[in-house]
Amino acid sequence: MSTPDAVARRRFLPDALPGGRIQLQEYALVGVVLLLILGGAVFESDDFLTSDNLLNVLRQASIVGVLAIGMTFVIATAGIDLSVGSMVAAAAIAGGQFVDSGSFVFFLAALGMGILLGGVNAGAIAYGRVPPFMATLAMLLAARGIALWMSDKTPISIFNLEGIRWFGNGEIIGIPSSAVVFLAVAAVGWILLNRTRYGRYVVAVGGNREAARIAGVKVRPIIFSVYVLSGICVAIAAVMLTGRLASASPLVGNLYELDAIAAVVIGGTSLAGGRATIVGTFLGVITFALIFNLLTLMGLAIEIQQITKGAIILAAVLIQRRET
Amino acid sequence: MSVKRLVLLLFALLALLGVAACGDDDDGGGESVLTEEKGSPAQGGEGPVKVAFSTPAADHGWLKAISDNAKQAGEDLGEEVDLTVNDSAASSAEQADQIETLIQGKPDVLVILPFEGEALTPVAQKATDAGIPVVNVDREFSTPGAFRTWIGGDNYGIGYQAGNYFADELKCKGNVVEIQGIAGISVTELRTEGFNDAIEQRCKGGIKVVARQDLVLTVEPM
Repeated sequence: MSTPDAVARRRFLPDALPGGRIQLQEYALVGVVLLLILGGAVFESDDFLTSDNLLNVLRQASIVGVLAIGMTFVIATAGIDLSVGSMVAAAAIAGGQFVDSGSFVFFLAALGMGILLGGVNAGAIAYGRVPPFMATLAMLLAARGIALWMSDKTPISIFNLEGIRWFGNGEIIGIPSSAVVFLAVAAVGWILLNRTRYGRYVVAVGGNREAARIAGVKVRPIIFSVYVLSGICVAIAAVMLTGRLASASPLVGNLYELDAIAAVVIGGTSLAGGRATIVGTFLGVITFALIFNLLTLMGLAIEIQQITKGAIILAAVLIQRRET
Repeated sequence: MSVKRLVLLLFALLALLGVAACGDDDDGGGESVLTEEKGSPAQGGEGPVKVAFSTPAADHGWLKAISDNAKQAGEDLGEEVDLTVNDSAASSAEQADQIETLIQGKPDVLVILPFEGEALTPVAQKATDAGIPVVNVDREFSTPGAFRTWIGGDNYGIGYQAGNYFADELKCKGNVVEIQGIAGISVTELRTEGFNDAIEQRCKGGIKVVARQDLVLTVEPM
């Protein structure tokens, strides 16, 4: 008899489809990353190829990166989460309410808010049958409103919370702490997606919900869980961002969801669900961070980055199309 | 197969384009790069002074004027100065990232007009700790140790004079509505403080601020 797990394993193994569809995309992305590094070495060698600068790139990628890991799971279920940017602000402000109670309480408050808002998304989508686009669009607006309202539109200084500041700006044996957190979250995400039954179920639900349901996969709890996961990633990102700026501002996180989605898409995860890769997401995030870094070093307008991002996304989706 | 190859090639080219050639900057037509004599670092007083200037994306006229005039001054000073201007950051986080990258370039002096003074204090501190003198323009950082010099208007004075004006015009009686710019930055807070102090001292409660609303400084149709 086929267990749900066996069915999922047969049909929806991420990262190792026959013909290596995702792998080709990942190799292409590795190529792009190498090209960017080459470009940087050629045009800006003294500033670009230093370990400091490359570590900076990793650090700059880490906030959107953490969001993108959560987003990978959401998109794998054929869903989408448009609210992560606003939720970051809400989580940061929630933490900021407890600024006098120490770093740990701050962290808990941010985590709580992230899980709460993620849970609202999750409930609406999984059980309320609201389309993910609509539910998270509503949350995008609501969460921003919550952040602005709770903070009275004024940023909250967290200068004295040494622990949180270390999270954003500290170093572990020379590597920025936010980069370490990003790598850790990516590693956990990878293990979850590729080495656990849960990961297989997530991809199965995205690939063919009816088939998964008939095979015995508990579809609604799975869908519920990915949005809560996204909420947890939001909280982590919020703590990192607040630490970096030493200030919880209700205006942060604007359009971060688009950056996260873009990174996930160019990494090879399919927006239609059923295919997901954490490595691809990681590469996608690094690609964008490299572009930002190079443009800054060259003193070029950041708007060019947006144009380039748009072009890369289009190209990436076109490649995906041809492979399907 | 060939379409895919073509697309792959195109997208690699686009990536390169995104990082391609810097400054054909002779006419300086609104582009935000102005680097002359790249690769000749100033050493102990010789050669051009390497100045890095970071300012938020201009969402109103004043910021744009600052950025344009800075670039103009860079051009006027010609050989003496090697100026890099980053004026496209749309948020504190982006500006912090940009400044971190600017620090890599080891400028002789780093001038920062922060999006939010408080949020950019850590990165300014980082630059100061790295031995780069930091000049803080307009919106103040929250720790004096994070920068060497501050350049800005007398915002408290501006608020105070506004208060005086209101006291005169309203003859010390009336209701006032305050519409602020960006909440939470030193500029706004000092002006509000100055205003309140002036009307308090001159009118002793005759003028009341009945409502206060802050808006971010962009114009949007209602």
